[in-house]
Formats: sequence, C-alpha cells, structure tokens
Amino acid sequence: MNFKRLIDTALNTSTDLYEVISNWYMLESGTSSKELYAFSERMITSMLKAYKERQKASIPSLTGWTGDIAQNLRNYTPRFLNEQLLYALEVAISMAEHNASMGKIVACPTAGACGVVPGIILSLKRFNGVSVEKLSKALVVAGAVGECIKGKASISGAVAGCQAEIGTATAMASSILVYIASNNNYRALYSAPALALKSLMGLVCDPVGGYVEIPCVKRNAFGVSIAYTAAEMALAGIESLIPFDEVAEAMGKVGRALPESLRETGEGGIAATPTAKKLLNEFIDRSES
Amino acid sequence: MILDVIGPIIIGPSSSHTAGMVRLGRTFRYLFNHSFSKGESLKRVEFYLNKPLFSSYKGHGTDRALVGGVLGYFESQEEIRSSIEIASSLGLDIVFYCKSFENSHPNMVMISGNSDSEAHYLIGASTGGASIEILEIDGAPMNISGTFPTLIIKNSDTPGALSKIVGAISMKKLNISNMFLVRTNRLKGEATCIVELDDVPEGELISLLEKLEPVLSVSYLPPITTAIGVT
Repeated sequence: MNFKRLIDTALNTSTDLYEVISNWYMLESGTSSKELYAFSERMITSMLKAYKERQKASIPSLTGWTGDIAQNLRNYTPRFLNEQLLYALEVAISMAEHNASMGKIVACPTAGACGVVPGIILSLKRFNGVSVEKLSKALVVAGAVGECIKGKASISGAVAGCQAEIGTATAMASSILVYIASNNNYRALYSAPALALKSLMGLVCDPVGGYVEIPCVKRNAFGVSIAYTAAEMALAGIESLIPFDEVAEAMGKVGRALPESLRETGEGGIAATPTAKKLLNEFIDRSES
Repeated sequence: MILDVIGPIIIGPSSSHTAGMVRLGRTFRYLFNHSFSKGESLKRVEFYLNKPLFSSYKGHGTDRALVGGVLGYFESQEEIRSSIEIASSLGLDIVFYCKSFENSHPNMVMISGNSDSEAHYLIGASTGGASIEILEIDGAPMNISGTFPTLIIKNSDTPGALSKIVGAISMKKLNISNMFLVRTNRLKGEATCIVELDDVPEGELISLLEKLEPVLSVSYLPPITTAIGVT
C-alpha cells in the first residue's frame, strides 16, 4: 500500500482522508467501516484509561529499573518547553513505564513504543479540547501511516531496530497532529511522517538484558517531541523532499543492514555497556536468590 | 490491515514475550476440554523454554504470561500479573525448564501437562506482535496460527476415516479453510486430522464427530483473535 495513493485519492475526490482510509479498509477486510471507527474509539478510550490507571499506582517494573520517573516530569515546572509538550512527554513515559511493569496498554504499533501515540492523543484532548470522535478518526489515519511502514519495512525491533518501533510510532503520532490541525493540508499530511521517520533513521534496538526498559521507556518521550517538531515543520510548509513512501522503504533497507547485535538481542549498543552488564547481573542475582 | 499497527490491548511489557505467550498457554488449555467438562482441573504443567527465551523470561513476565494463558486468561486481563500465585492457590504444579530446540524460532516453547484423565503437549512459538505459530500437538506436526476455529481430531488410521470426518463437517454446512492429516503412530494405527474452519462450529459438531467410529478424540481451539476488535 502506498500512502501517496491514499492522499491523492483524498485530494482528487475532495474526500476526507479518514473516509478514504475507511473505504479502503472496507474493501480490504470485507467489514463495515463503522466497525473500524468503533475499534479506533475503543483504542482511544483504552489509552485514556491506561493513563488514569497509572496515576493511581506506580508499580516498579519486574527488574526494578523503571517505574517512577514520570512523576519527575509531573512535578516539574518547565523552564523552556510549554505545558502541553511537557504533559505529552509525561504521558509517554507513564505509558511506557506502565508497560514495563505489566500494566494494560495499547500496543501502538508495539508494546515497547506504546507511549508515543497516547502522549500526543492525551495532550490534544487536554490542551486543545479535541473530541474523542475526532481523535478516533485521526488514529485511523495514523493506522494507515503505520500500515504503510509495516508493508514497506517492518514495525519490529528484532527485524529493523528501534527506528521501526519508536520511529513508526513517531511517524504515526506526527500524522495525528497534522490531521487534527488541518485535515485537508495534504502536503503536510504527507510530509510530517516522512520528516519524523527520517530523523530517527538508523536508530538501533539495544535494550539492556533484552527487556523493554532501558533505553525504551525514555525513547518514548523523545518520540513525542520529534512528532511535535515534524508536525509543526510540515504545517509551516516545510516539505520532505524525499517522499514518505520512499523514506519508509529506505528505513526497511537500513534495518536489514543492521547487525543482529543491534536488533533486540540485548548484545549491542546501550545493552553492551559495562553499566548495563552490571545492572543485568545484579538483577539476575536478585531473581535467583 | 490497519488493526495490525493499532492494538491489541495487552498486559505488557512485550507483545512477543508476554501477549503471544498468553495465547500459547491458552491454546494448550483448550486441549483439555474433556477434562473440564467432567469437572476435572489441570494438575501439573511443565514449560520448556528455548534457550534465548529462558535467559530473559523473568524480566519479561513470560512465566506469568504462560501460566495465565494455561489458566484461561486473555492477554488483556490483569490476572496475568498474579497468575503464578493464582495457580498455586488452585493447587496447579508448574515447573520451568530450559531446553535447546535446534534450528528453531528463538521464542519457542513446549508446554506439557496433565489432568486426572488425560495428558497433552504442545510446541509453539511466539512470532511477534502477539502472533503465534503452533507447530506440534501430541506428536502431530502442524503449522497453524490459531486464528481460525480449529479442530484437532485424533482418529484411527483406517480407510474412509477422513471421508467420515469431512462428511460430518459438511453436514453442519461449515466450510473448511485448511486441512492436514498426519499419521502419528503407525504401530497403534493412529492419525491426527487438523481442520481449520471459516466459522465457529456449534457444540453439536464436536459431539457428532466424537460419535464417529474412527474418531478417538476431538479438541476444539477457538480462534485466538476474532477479526476486528481484539482485546
């Protein structure tokens, strides 16, 4: 599937991009587009619920490496960022910590990258008053972005590195922001996910011990800030000269070129640092005693 | 499909090390439908984790996920977190072993266990994004995804057995999507027939199949995902 095709169809038929994607989905799956909307809405409400759950109890992760850093942001007055971005970062980290401590989350596109899209969604709801209905439609648009990346590259860290997980989540999140800001700005809708994905090109998957914690949790917050940056740049009229579909393909090629040690094996990058090894050994000793 | 990149709703931290493992455990549980209908429960379950999986199973909650699945929980249920405690309160013995499966998927497991009246084993892999592959059940090799309503029929290896099975399925106006037949024990003259259906069968089909003369036992595996809205 080509994202450009969906964008062109929306442009040429003066149809909302969400409607075009719904119709495409209907043809492909043989199920009603109402079901797709209902599904998307359920995912949005589940994200809202997961964040509320997390506020009630900050359980540490199984390794004890993460579990309470979101509150640092929650109790902090930003010096440079605005309140909306700070809140989005906090949501992203909360969700990623919730995931690491076996909380109930929406994999979007994966469990390790589950904080980026909710960070954007919740910040839009709280600071821009965007309705759940509008957000559900925007999430469908993000779904098409993710689906294109999945088709041309991968959304799995084990296959193509973190660029495929946080990278895809960030591209999806940037398209939500653009769609909410201006649902008929097709140039920006096509550019934002390309800008986002380009900025994370080559990001390796190097979790300490193979666990979805270090550096995964914090990368979710960086995904949020890049999504905002890509969306604002695209809305300002900055175009990605390399089209999104080509960027997605390039990401897949980079992923396949990555050595295995940098694809979720916990053997390279951050995972191979002396401190990472020490943390892992300490955890193994603890869990065996 | 768009739904592949949004959702499912799962208990973290990993779709392959946690959610997929719940599904493998649950599939194993379905093999004991006979025991459950007689009011029996599972007594002991052993989990053999492939080496790469064994090295990180505690930090990923893979143990809790597998046990949660064996207890019948779904990948979105919070009971997964306390499944090991639940299992011990139910008197279910659980043991984890490390096992090297050669030339296999890193996230491969064998689950083996028994109730009072029956014993089964299953070999499968969690292949990412909560998807699974089931590769062997009770000596019968297969390659199924668990996404179809699936019948595992053990039958005597006699002429006409297959035609009677297919006849019963078509009598219930069900369409077969995929089907495999494998001889599992030449000495005992046993075969296993694996049938993936397009639609969920009514309970009657299973009792109808069980009454057929060549059929020894029938297990039914409900689809692990139901098209849209997997939770």
